[in-house]
Amino acid sequence: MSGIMSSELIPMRWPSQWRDSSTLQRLSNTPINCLLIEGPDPLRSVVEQAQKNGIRVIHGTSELSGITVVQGEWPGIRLSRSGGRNTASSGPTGLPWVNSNGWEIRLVAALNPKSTIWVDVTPKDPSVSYQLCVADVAACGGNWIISLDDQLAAGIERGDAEPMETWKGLVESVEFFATHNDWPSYGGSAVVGVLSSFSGEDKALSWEVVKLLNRTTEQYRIIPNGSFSANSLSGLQAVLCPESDLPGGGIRKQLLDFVQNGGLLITRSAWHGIPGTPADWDHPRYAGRVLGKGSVAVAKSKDAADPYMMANDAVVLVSHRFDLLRLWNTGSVSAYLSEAPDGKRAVVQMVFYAREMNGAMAAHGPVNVSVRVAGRYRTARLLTFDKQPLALGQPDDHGIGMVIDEDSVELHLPPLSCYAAVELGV
Amino acid sequence: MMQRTKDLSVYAGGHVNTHSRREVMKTMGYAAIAAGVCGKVPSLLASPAPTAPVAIGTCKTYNSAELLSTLDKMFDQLGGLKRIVNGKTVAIKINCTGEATWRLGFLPLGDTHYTSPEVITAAVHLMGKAGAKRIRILESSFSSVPLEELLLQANWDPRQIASAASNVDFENTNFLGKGKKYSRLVVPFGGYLYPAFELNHSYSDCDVFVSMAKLKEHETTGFTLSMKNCFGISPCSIYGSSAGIDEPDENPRGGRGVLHSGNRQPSKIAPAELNPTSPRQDGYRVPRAVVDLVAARPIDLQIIDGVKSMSGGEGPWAPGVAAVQPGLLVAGTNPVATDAVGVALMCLDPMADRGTHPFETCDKSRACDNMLRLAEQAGLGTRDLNRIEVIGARIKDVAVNYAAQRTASLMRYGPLPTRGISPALM
Repeated sequence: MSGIMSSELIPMRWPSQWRDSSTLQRLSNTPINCLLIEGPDPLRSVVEQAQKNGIRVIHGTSELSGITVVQGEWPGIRLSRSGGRNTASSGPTGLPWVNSNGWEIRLVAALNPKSTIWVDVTPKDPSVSYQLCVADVAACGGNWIISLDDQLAAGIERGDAEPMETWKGLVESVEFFATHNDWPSYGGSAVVGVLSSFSGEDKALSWEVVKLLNRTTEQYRIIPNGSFSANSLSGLQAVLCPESDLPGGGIRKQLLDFVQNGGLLITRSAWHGIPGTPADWDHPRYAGRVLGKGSVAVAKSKDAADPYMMANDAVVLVSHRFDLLRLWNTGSVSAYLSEAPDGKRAVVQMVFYAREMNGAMAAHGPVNVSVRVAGRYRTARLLTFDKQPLALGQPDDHGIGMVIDEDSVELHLPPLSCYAAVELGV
Repeated sequence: MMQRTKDLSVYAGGHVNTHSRREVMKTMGYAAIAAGVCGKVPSLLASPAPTAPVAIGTCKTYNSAELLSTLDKMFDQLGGLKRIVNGKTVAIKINCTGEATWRLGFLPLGDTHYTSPEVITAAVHLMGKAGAKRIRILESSFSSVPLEELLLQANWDPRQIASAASNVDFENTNFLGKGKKYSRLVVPFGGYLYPAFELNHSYSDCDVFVSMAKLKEHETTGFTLSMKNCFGISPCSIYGSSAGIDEPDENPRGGRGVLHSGNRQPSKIAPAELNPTSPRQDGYRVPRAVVDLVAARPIDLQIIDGVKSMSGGEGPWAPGVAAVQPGLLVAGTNPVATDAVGVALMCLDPMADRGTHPFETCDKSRACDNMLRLAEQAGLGTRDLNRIEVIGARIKDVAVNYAAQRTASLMRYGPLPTRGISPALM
């Protein structure tokens, strides 16, 4: 199996209580092709049998080049500090706080463009949704190091019905993303770019801004200063610079050109003295300047920036008029739109977190989900883990289908589980 | 040709005692003065509560031509729009309750629980034609984002409304907004709960105040029409759960806990409630707060959108709701009379009282008071259909049994899938 490139590996952490190599049969006919076997005991028979089966065995992720491991968090709605089973923690808006790994995968990938991103997170509770974890990571192009809780691992080893059903679902979701392995090569469509070094004094702020922007479902692009190029700003409506330090002269000039051509630049107060004339709009936290066809929003306060306000202000400053995605009835969701290199296909991926709350599964996922996608698409196909692809045509008796508008399409989806993707064609 | 009918009620037949507008204004003034002098809830007022004609128009669609002709005719029936708005600054409080990301099924928000953008556009156009100097669209949308952004999230184009007349603008009145300070509006009869309110400047910086509501039932108050729509003129910066103790919170979050449950007083810049030991149930407080607000900020013109709506509650979060298409528009100049007609058009009884439909709940301690009765007692207007001149369509000919519609919908489609978790968390 030495022929498999690191980027093609689909990893799983071998459960410590699986001592018998015969348990490897659980992995046959699955896309899992890499086992992480940890601990002092080498489990020689397992290693040998795995290698015979064509599975790459590693004892630590440092053995692999081209892999960057993110220490993740279990996705879902964050537990209440009170521990009540029906209460969730909420963010500053009063909306529930969602743990997700997508933003960090995208950020680490942007900082390490030649790396494949693996996410290492282990379940703490046997009732969690494994499919949600696969989706949360894979929708952003990462790979979860599949890790089973002890109870599930024991049940799978014994072949018990319920654990085997969970295992089947997990494998289905992994197979789904293995089948659609071209999606990570699609370019992320974006309205706002976040330009930063993502290091130094403002590292924590910049990272947090990305995390919170991800929660808004605004489509964003991460632009590390170090990999800034002429194409970095193409297609964007706005650029948010969360750092107080000014970027270098070359980048600064391109940013000002971007504004001259109609873009919006959102900056910290250190950027006072920027060219242009005062704008006629006012904002509680930003002063506006007009420059050419565009404008600059400069933070009024020199105080330490609040990343929550910064992310949410950016969405409003650029305006929902430019939304690439609008979603209804999704509950807590991450949503990503990306476009194929040929420009003729796109995919919307949605990860729904409301099913996974307080470590327990709700009865079902969202219903009556509507999605408006900006663009002149004319075909749509719904893809989920457990059902046949569904072509979305004219709305049926129950309203499920697609409504085509001049510059957008609106998709009306059947009841969903924790993940759905819609492939769109022009 | 103007059609006037005196056959008013599906509940009450009998003698009609209509008053002229001059009589109405006279009576209203006396009532307010008497109440102010006495400082009591004016149930002891000798004069009957004032009345005014109410126009009912049938309008099957949101087609702009049909809307314009229907509304134009209705305004004529009320004595002409020019008389009300010519040369005036008109403030229109629309109804956009709840998050813009929440739909009933797949239906656009304007087809269910938001005032339809087409009705707003048509009314704005007619007001412009009638000589309105300035038209301001108001709503207290969640948080402090510009109102236009809420409308965009709802999938509306605010430019459509703004271009319907000259000098149209928007303001989110949930906080200080574009004003320099809050406006104190006093409750002339002394108030059931509050003697006065601190409101966004928009509610005093206008010559004419219009409540543009939806023909809907309401989970707490039985129905929500032009009066209940004004619950939302109270800014959450002062009356919200996140309001500051001393000063307003100009970045408000959450709902109007101060008015709903009375679990705390408003920010100290606003007058505290009259009797903090009064019941804390929302069925007691909300209808009284509504009457206090409507008395403090009288509604000069009421327009109720019943072309399409929903039954069973004020938004898709209410249990057992269904879409309805009454095909009706209602307009009037006395909010109590207008809402009484609106209530009858939903086949509810405007004379019903606490504990009877629609003011009953399983938990009797949470049963609600009829805000029409409270408003009538406060001298704001009559709810007695026998005293209200209805112009245009007859109530008994066009009333829509909301409860029956709901039942029919349930029989056809079955119950809407119940979400797996609390709607508050979705």
